[in-house]
Amino acid sequence: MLIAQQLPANEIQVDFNSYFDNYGVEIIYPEVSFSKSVSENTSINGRVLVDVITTASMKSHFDSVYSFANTSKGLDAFTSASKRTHGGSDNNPDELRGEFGIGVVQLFDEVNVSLTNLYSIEHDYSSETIAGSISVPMAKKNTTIQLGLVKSWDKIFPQTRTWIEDKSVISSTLTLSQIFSTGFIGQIELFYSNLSGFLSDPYQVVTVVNFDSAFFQKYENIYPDYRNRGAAGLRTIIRLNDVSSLQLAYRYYLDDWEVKSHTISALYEHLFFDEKLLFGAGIRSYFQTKAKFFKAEYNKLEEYMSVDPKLNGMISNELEFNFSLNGSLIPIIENEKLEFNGRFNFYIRKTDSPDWHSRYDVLYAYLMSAGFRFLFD
Amino acid sequence: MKLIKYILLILIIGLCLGCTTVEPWEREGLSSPIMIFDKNPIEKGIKIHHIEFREGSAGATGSQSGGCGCG
Amino acid sequence: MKKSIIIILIIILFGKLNQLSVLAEDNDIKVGNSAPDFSGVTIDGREMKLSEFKGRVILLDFWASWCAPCQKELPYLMQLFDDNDDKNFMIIAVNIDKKIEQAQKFLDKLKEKAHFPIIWDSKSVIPALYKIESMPTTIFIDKTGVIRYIHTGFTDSSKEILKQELEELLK
Repeated sequence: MLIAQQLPANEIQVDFNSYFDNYGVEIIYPEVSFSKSVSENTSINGRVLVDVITTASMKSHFDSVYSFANTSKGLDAFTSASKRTHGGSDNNPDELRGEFGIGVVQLFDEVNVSLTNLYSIEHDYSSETIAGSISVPMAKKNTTIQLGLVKSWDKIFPQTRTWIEDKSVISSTLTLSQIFSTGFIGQIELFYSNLSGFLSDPYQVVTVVNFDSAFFQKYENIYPDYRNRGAAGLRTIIRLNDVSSLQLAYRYYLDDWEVKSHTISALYEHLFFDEKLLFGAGIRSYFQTKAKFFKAEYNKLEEYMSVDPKLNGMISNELEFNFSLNGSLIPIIENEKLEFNGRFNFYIRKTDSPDWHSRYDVLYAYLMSAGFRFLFD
Repeated sequence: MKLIKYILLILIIGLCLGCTTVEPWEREGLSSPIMIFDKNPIEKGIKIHHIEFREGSAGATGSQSGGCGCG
Repeated sequence: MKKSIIIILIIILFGKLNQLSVLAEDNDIKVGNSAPDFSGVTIDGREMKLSEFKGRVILLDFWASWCAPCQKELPYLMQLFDDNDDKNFMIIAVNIDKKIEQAQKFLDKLKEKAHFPIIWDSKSVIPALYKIESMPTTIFIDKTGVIRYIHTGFTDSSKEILKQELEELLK
């Protein structure tokens, strides 16, 4: 089994992922990735992911809203003048996003260095990311320190607008993993990220209503152009017996928009059939305070405004069931280098106030994933 | 405050370096898939993408680790 | 940010130095020293000692069914032994699986059979005696019982290295 200071195994992985929620959002996102060693100390990897997003319920919404939406830059001439049908972001509610990544992993003695370049493109957004990490094992490989740096440059160019905006993100992660015994592993991770530029969602609409002055106007979200984010996570794996373990995790997060959160999670894993079938069941609970400028309703124009539900106060819970089946257990295939994976998640999020467009305050989402990994020499 | 954080960090790492209790030949149990964080990092990335799209937090979700330390 | 990186680099350096000092103190198992004798029972139930093979070049190998590189190494060692079985050469493979069935199952899957002794050491007495640093570990012991080469891990280039070292020691 691979560990951080080894080269990744030679493998091809294919996954079919899907997402459905009660807001009417449907996403199908197949992904193909591979990893191949090109020399004893070097391995290359690549991935291609395609998101197909169908947001049927958004279409009618934007039809009504965008005909008189104001942006932070003033009235948008195109949207205000046009009688054409506007979708989630333009004419078509179906969006397509492609993500392409290439990477290299290099071993220097036992030190593992990796470099990855990711490029993501959709019709109104592009993102270029460079990620690097160094992983150093110590103390007979019982301790591993990993440092990761990620820098990304995004461009936002909604097709119903005339402007292009930039966003830049730099993140760093420090991870310390420690094997305490054959039945107990711990990990601490510290994360810091700085975002700058256009941090808003151009398709969300803030309605400012003041009945006293009969003022009624629609605007975009208006966000600060920076955000500093920090988080600290702690997780452990505890072996329960030869075939089962329990993972426990806690994370604390805070940022200068005054979003604070606590995340707790547990994952139980159990091996069956001579370790050929792995079954996992997990639960995750998340508690978040709202951003300082978030409001469900505005009655006057403010310096910063947001109706984005992810900046609202919320509690979310997620249940997960997953399995991993070795191909040697399947009668016709009987190939131990093949592994079949499946996952089902049920996600429920309750925000402190109703969502700005659906008016629901509870989001129910179902996620399903099925795929295989094939290991080769 | 920052100084305290750095001292704490060094202490934690120092303590961990002293914890060399598991010898290479004792790692049979650690090679089991139930003793590995994030066996499938690609799948984890997909899960995180979905969560970060719906919640206001990010980061510190951990890194792949564990295994027998062979090689 | 810069401070954090500097601190991490210092810690990494400290960790590496720490490991080096530990190695320096261990003067029992190193190239040039005598290989400590041990006894064990093979997978097919035969008692044996390392000293039985004094006068031969010995390749002492530590492996387990749960160790991925060992799974590549063992078939090569079988080939290396079969290519040199007419010479003054012996391989002793020490298996440290907790359950003998695991080791046997792995051996049964291989195309070749091992024509050298495989000791089953579930209590890991021999790897502790040899203070091995990683799995797999291969140690070349010359005809006089002196440790001549120590290798950890196994990759494709290990094959040629082991072959050349064996040729040199057989001279």
